[in-house]
Amino acid sequence: MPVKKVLITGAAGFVGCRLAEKLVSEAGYEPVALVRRYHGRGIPRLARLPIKWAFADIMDLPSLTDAFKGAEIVVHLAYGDAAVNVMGTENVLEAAYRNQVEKVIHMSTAAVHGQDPKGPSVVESSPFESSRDEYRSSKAQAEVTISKFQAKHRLPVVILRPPLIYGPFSRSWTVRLIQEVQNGAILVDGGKGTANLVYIDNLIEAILLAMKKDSADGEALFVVDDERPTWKTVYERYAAMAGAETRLSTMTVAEIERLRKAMTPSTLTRWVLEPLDIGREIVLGAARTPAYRNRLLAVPWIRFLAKEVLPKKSKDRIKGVGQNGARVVRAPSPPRVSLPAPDMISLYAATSRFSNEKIKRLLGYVQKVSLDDGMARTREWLRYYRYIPG
Amino acid sequence: MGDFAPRTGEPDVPTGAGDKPLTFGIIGCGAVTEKSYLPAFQRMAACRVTHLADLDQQRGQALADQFGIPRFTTRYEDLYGHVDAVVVATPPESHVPITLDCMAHNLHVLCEKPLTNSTAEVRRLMAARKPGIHVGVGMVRRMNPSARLMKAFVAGEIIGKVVGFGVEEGSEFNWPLHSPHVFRPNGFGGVLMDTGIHIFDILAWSLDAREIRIQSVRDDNLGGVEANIRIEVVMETDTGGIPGTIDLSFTRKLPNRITLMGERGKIEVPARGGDSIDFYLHPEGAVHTVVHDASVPADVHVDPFGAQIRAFADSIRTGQIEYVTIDQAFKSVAAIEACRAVRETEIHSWER
Repeated sequence: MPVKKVLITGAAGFVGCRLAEKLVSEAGYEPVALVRRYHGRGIPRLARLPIKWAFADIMDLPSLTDAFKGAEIVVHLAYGDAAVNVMGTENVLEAAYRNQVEKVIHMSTAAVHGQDPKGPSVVESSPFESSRDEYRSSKAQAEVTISKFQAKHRLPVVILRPPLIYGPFSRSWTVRLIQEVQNGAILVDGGKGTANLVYIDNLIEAILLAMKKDSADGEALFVVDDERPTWKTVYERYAAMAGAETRLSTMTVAEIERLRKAMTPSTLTRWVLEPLDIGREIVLGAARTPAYRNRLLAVPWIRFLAKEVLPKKSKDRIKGVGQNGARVVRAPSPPRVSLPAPDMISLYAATSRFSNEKIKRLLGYVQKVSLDDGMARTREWLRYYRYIPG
Repeated sequence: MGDFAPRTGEPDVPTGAGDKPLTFGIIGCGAVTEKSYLPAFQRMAACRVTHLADLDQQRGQALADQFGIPRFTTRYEDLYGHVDAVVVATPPESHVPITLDCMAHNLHVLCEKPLTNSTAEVRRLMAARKPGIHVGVGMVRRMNPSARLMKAFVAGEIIGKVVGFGVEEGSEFNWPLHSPHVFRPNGFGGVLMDTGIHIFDILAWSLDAREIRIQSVRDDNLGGVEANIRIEVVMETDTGGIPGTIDLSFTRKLPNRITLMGERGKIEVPARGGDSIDFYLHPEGAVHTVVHDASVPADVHVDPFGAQIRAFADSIRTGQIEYVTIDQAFKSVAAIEACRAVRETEIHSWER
């Protein structure tokens, strides 16, 4: 059986590592990991696999073109700032075209439609939302770039638009959420918004289908799990994983914004008081070390002040000594409950659902990992990675 | 290495008018040379690096310029007859051949870890030994005050007889590699060779083990090199076997701690070395003390690489061996070999 070489850009990322893991056991495919260098948290994960490596930066077309030699399929997962997302994508297309690659699978995002698209069911032909968010706007622009490229050149491209990818190794929708519930998470409007999630292995399954079949060439597809839990359900699942002493509270959008305003330091605090406070802490910290304290006390007027003027209480504070000579150790600050970021409020409050009807129709996609199973695997991973006890 | 006198690696002065600095060449200009050896040598007057050698002309010359090293060459053979000693800091698969060549040309050799991955190769080095030529192995963690305290606590039975141990060392890999040897599936890559060799050595040394007996090994190698490994092991000593577990990772943040459990208490030691250890007396948690090495001044941070170089240099001058020898390194290499022979792959539920 002929083996197709599949080059993965962004191979050391969250999706890239899992795709490479799946491809090494998938008959008929030879994965090649394209990375910039042997640096990054995904490298050891990739290095466990019997894969080939290629080195190039997607912003450097000549080296990218060279790295693409022999590739039959390119899965473009690399992303970054706006330039990387737009120019990098254009370079990937150009390098693929020059090397007569059979197909490019491009990883976009459902966020090109905004955090709260209109309508109960959002389809792929729904309009993009113009956004000041650099990631969302550049991913939208990348899709425009693909469309223009395809108008000029014959190069099959499949665009996948997953919403929120969760599961093992997901920093945004697994690690961040477990840390939030451990510190005390706030549910927006009781958490009744819809969480459009896709488990990582379900997304990989979609990529494999897009690689194998031609029926979605030239199309954009949402990849989203059938279950559409509320955010309350999602956070309760993570809270249950985290064990005792987890707290979920609920606030309305208006309450969150009022609290955020109250917590925002004033201009005077930010420009004057906070820097003064930082300076004081630096001086105190230095004065507590014997070497620096001795140097300071060698200055005559400082020694005079320290011995003759400073009250004992202040001297003890500088030395870090409490009552009865006990050493004072600053107690660790209690974990701070984080307010949902402003740009996330609309995501958490949204009730729209992205439709997966098109990917089922065109590729015969069937969700293989249920929410229950996905959460169970995620829990095992969180335990192994010491994010939760057990 | 029977004494516990610390070698801080602090800046020193020549010991006398007649003392000429020992000249060193460093073969291999990767991250450990740039980050550890060259800065350590810069602080020493008793030793001086006069030559650097590396296959990468651009990288090596840049490093030589940065650190003011007079000579650079792409051929390590050019060092013969021009230096007293060499540090071999090349990718590990070349450690043995380069060490053998340098020994044959009467250079003292301090070879970075891992010395090799095969006991047969260690025996080759043993067979090639020459009188008066020192060959040391860079098991640098022994030079940390915490390691010395651990050994002292065991030797002094301060926690009673040691009845068990646990090691957890791991973090997201972020060492600035110049060559990817740690990820090469050539028998020298993976967390076992990179980190395990240190752990086996430090445990065998501090527990005075005559043998390291591997009972089981599970790792996540799927055809490349492992990023996570769990080893069940027994350290065989003259007073019996001490069972323990070793968890190592290139992807997980682990406590980075060696715990020795004794009949009367336990100690926790920073796995990568530090200035102190935590000492607990039984019952569990009744007394907790942080123990520092009193002979190291409070505001002095021991540079283990500097201490290692100084110990090696002093050995050359005095003839009294104060470095880790090939014979001592044999145990940890044998342990690595045994791990490879019994390893099983662990596939987690989320990987199926």
